[in-house]
Amino acid sequence: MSQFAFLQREWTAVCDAAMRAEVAVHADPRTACFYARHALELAVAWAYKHDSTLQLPYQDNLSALIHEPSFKQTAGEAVFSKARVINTLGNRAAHGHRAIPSDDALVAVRELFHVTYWLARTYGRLGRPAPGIAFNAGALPRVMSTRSQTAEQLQRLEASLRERDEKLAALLADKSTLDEDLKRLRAEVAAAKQAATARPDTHDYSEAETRDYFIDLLLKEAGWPLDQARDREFEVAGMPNNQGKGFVDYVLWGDDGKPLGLVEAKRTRRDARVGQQQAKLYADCLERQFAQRPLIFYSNGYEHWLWDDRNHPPRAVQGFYKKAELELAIQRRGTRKALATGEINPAIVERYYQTRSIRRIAEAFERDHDRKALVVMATGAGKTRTVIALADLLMRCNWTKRVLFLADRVALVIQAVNAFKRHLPDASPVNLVTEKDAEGRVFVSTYPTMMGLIDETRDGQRRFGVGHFDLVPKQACLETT
Amino acid sequence: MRGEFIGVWPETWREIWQPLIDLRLGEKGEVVPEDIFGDLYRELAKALREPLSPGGLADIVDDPVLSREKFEKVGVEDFGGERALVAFFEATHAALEELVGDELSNYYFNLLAAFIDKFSLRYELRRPCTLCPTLPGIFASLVRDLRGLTSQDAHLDALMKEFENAVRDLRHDCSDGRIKTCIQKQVNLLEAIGSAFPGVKAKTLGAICDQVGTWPHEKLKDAMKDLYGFASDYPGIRHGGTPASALRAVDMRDMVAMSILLTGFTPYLENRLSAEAIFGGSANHAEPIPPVVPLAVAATGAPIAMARPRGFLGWLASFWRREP
Repeated sequence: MSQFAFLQREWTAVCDAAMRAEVAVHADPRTACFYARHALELAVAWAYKHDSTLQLPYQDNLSALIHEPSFKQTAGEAVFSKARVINTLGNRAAHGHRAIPSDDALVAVRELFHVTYWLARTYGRLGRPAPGIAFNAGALPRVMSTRSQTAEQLQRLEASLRERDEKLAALLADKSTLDEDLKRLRAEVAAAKQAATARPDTHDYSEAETRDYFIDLLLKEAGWPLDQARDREFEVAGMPNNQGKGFVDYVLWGDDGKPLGLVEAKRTRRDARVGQQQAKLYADCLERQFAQRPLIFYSNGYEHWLWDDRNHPPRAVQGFYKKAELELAIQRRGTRKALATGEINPAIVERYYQTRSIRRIAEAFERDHDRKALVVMATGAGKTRTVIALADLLMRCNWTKRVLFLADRVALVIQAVNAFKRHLPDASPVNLVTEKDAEGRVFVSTYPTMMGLIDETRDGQRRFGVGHFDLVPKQACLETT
Repeated sequence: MRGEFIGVWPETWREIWQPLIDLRLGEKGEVVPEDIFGDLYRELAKALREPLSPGGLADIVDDPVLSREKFEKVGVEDFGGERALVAFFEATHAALEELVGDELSNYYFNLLAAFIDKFSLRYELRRPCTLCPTLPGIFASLVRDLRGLTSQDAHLDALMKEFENAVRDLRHDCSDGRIKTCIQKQVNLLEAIGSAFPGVKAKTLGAICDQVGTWPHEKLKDAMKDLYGFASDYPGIRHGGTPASALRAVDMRDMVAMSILLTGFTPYLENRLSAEAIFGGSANHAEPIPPVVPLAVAATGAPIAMARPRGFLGWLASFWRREP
């Protein structure tokens, strides 16, 4: 009997997809991950359709739906993170060409079990699953006869499933079109949800496992295979404890055998920052041993912090740096030039308020270690040229390698690309709206285009990772309203 | 630690103005416009104690040679005060920006920043060119003005010296006995300062606090009275007390905290301390100001050691010193 049988009565389609995933875990891991994501898509779409408190985001793809704040709040951090894991594994299955290990498929189905439990517990009107039910990996079918599907086959399947599924956005675009049945259903679901939230959720969501896996997943997305013994639980000497030694959860090594980064992972609900001091001590030990101070990451699985403790205060990040990005960060410690004495190119900007704003921003970055700055100038005052001159200064002083310029309309993107081509041609400006695969140092995009590309992976690695861009100028939407 | 421009004005020629006019501009290495001192003197004239007539000023600024000559001859005694000099340094940036552009004005900005760093002045230079008083600078001004004020009264002068001697003694021995002496001497000083406040009849610091009438809120007054209560109640500071009232032995942490807190309260006990002057520098230049003389002047342009401030002020300076 399927472990997803509790979905059968009220969520037949979700149950069907989940059972397909369940059956394929050992036989065809790629298909299992694909169907796990599909089941998640159906479950999330159902929630958006029937729960009137969920706000439809800017677009209706799965990533946008699960990241929508109202969904995150309703689902909670644990379920949200599980959904992210399933989505990532599903994307990898459908769009990557590397083999999918059955362990990953098992994780996808296990996390789907917990997400669908939450769905049934929160919205179930005809009964709720028992809190004590647990996912049993040993009970998964061991059928090996199914022929494995390729990524291309799954992409075709995905397209056909999309055709069949109703479009959420179209359905919910005009709330006045909601038919009477849906209105009644929504009322029932709201009552069920209220009753569910009145009782504490005692189900064991296996959070520690998710947190553990999530860190691995994000590290792999950043291109860290973690296939060497020294990558995990690396022993260091000189810790201020009785044994004088410690074990670093993850060490991210450079090609020269020196540590580029370390990750201190706390697999608990506690604040990720409780690992901060311990991570610093590990960094001290690694620096003594290898004569290179690594960048510090500390995480509780869901929240991740980056700390280059000799240069900047810690900051929350969405994941981990790639090897090349860590190498660059460490190399910059010695090669970055002072912005205060750098020359602003007078061929790009010549008005006093432009140079003043660039100098002030540079001061904020260099002296105050700020990471954000707001430039307010009237229309026609030369904001784009100011940004180009700033990017030029930061590039020449080795503060910036890649720039992402965001605008809210395609016409503004074209304008900005042309301006970059005119004033900063060596940066090979790329219009991401029209040249999605091009490479360069300056990328210009609309917000929606970038939102579509931000989660893109190539062979399991994120193209635009956490450390990909050093400078992200954003053109205010006010300009066009 | 004086930390003001007015004390080190003679050094600006070598550190700022000469390098500024030696700069070569652009890829072609053009020299700085010869009328630069006309623009600089126009701004400098606003900081002088004796204002120039419009005609006299025009004669100077229109003549590149004369304006440089006049600029070079301006001495410390010619200035209207620190605040006016600060305004001159700030305005110079805009004048240079107008004259040449960012290349020259930014060079000036960096020279000025290096000058402030080298002479440990009490300002932080911010873009575009704003001289902001720093916390150590404000505190140093407070202590300096307090010292100047006590020096005008034999009794206060003696108490101030006793307090500073007690601080110096810690250099050799940080025992709790010496720390208690430090706190006691400072409380004595504050008591004497407060008792001289117009209209105050009380003789103890707690009662003085009730009479000065300078507090913005009761809790602030209570805080000062509580500090006094600590000094009176803790065994061995002002009175014998009882050992049971102490939670632990006093240590240097208490010395640091109490000396800073008690000093911070002095503007409430002494109306002649001008908060505006403490924050922004003196507005006038009525008295001759002893210049801060560097111990050694490095020709390399590297930071040089300043004459170490003495006594409590020196101790405070080291306490507040910010790591680069």
